[in-house]
Amino acid sequence: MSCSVYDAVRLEQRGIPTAVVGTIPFVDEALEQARVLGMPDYRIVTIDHPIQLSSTDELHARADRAIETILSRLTKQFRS
Amino acid sequence: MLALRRLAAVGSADVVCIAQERPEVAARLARRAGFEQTVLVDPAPYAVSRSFGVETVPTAVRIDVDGRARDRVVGWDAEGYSSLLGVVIDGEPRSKPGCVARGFFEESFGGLDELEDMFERGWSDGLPVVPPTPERVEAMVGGRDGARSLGLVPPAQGEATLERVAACAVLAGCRPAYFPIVVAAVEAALDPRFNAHGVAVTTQPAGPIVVVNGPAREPVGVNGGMGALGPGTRANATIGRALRLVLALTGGAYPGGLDRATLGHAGKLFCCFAENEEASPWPALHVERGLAPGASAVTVFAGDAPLSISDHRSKAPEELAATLAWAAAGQWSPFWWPMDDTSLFVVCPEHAALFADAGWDKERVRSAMFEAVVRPAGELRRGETTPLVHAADDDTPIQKWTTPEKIVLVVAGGEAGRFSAVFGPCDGMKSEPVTKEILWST
Amino acid sequence: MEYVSPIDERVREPIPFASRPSALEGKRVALLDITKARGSEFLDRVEQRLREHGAQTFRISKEIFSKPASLDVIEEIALRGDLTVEGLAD
Repeated sequence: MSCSVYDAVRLEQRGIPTAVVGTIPFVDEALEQARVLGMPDYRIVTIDHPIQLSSTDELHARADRAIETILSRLTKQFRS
Repeated sequence: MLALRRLAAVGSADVVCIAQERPEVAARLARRAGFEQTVLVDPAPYAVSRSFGVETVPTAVRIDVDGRARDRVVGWDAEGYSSLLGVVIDGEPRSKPGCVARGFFEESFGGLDELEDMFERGWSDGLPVVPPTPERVEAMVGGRDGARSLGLVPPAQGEATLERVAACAVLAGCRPAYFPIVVAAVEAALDPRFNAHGVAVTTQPAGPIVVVNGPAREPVGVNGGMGALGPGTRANATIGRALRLVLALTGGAYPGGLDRATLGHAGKLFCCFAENEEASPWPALHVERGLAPGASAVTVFAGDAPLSISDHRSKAPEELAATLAWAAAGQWSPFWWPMDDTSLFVVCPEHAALFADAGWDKERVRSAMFEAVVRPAGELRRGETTPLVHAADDDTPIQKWTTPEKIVLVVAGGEAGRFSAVFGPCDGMKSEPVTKEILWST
Repeated sequence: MEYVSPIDERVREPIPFASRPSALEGKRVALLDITKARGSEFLDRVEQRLREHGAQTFRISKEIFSKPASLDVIEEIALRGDLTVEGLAD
């Protein structure tokens, strides 16, 4: 997660809105990594943990549940 | 945690939790407890806790509409909380004493002295550290340019100036004579090939392992003989510790914070030893890796806790090679073959002598070890299995390592005793061992 | 008592968020796969849903999840993309 947040910060600096998706136990790591790099308000998009033993259909279902949040992070169009 | 869980179940909007923790720790505790109401933090020096006279945690204080503190409940008392909140609180236990609150402990039991101050600042790895006063740090820097940067330390990207590295060396308990070795170790760890970022934040227990070679070992006192991997030698303990503190403090990889090791292990406090070049029948590690024999160097590996390997009965080199290699067969995970990561073997002098008496050089030992550990794919297709094994036919032979070059051998240990060791690998980080020369005027 | 801090205490300049576009339609979205197992299946579905909303997409992977993305990957995304979804960290 830490490396993904580091990627996101660099992409945001390049003007590329970036949504990082990770499972719930990584929220505080992501928060801390973003804070130390200078983006304390950066938030990842979370899905349920674990995923390694999930079926493909279950992974797709989690993507379906997360898509609105992903879109709201990337564009103004989907913000509530 | 008990109070948080019970209050989470009640879900009352009238509760604010004030945690004597850093924000990320408080967030994690609240999440684990399922507590979704407001959480505030009151880290050291715990000014809010002191102003409320909190001596025990948990303590609940009812604030009335005028902002005045009214009733309070000390420790966990379900009936007391029910009365404060006007709700029924279920669950056992009904009461439990609390613990001494931070801040109050220091004032009641001797006050905040220098060593406690280091703990409060978060500059410790769990053990007492030496306070890095300007005088101690200046002595450690030793006339070098303290502003010189060795690079940015991930994951927080703090800059490793010589002054900060020296502060870590002082904290660790190093003598100034150790500093050039510490600097070389930090340079090696910051080399991109080592992947300090991945190693620092992984859920694996891995930490840096420092092997010291060359003439620097003796005057500095880095131990490669009896007890080389254990406690007891100041240079070993403090040089290894200084590198760990650079990663944890300058790099921000605090255990439980950005250091996500699920378990970790005691070797993450320090892991540094010298190769016993005098007892080794082979070229020293740094020579094998391209440096001149007269040079001094460190090689930094990523790895986890060492596994001891007893072999007191093998007479033939093939037998000993098989013992050493099969000991490592279950590391990382018993069926995750082949492994594309380094296994660092520490061969004790008695074992090295057995190979030498048979005329075996390192290449031959490595090759025999590599060939010894093989199983058919069908036996490995259990649980944690590689994609290669999944795709292979049942009788395809699979080795533990992808190549013999993943087996690294160094000699260390006392002259008596047939115990070698192998460090657990660091998997999936693409972390390579990195060698840096120790420069005395660095 | 004064001490030399081992921590880089400099306060970082806050990094502003990149400006968000008003709509997704026509935007080029990079799906950055961190190469952890199962992540590509998740990104497959995200990609499908993004296309349903009118985005153009392309897939790109980094070397390994446990390292920051290389400069080449960052540059390629900056060149070819307007937005990024990176996953899947577990």
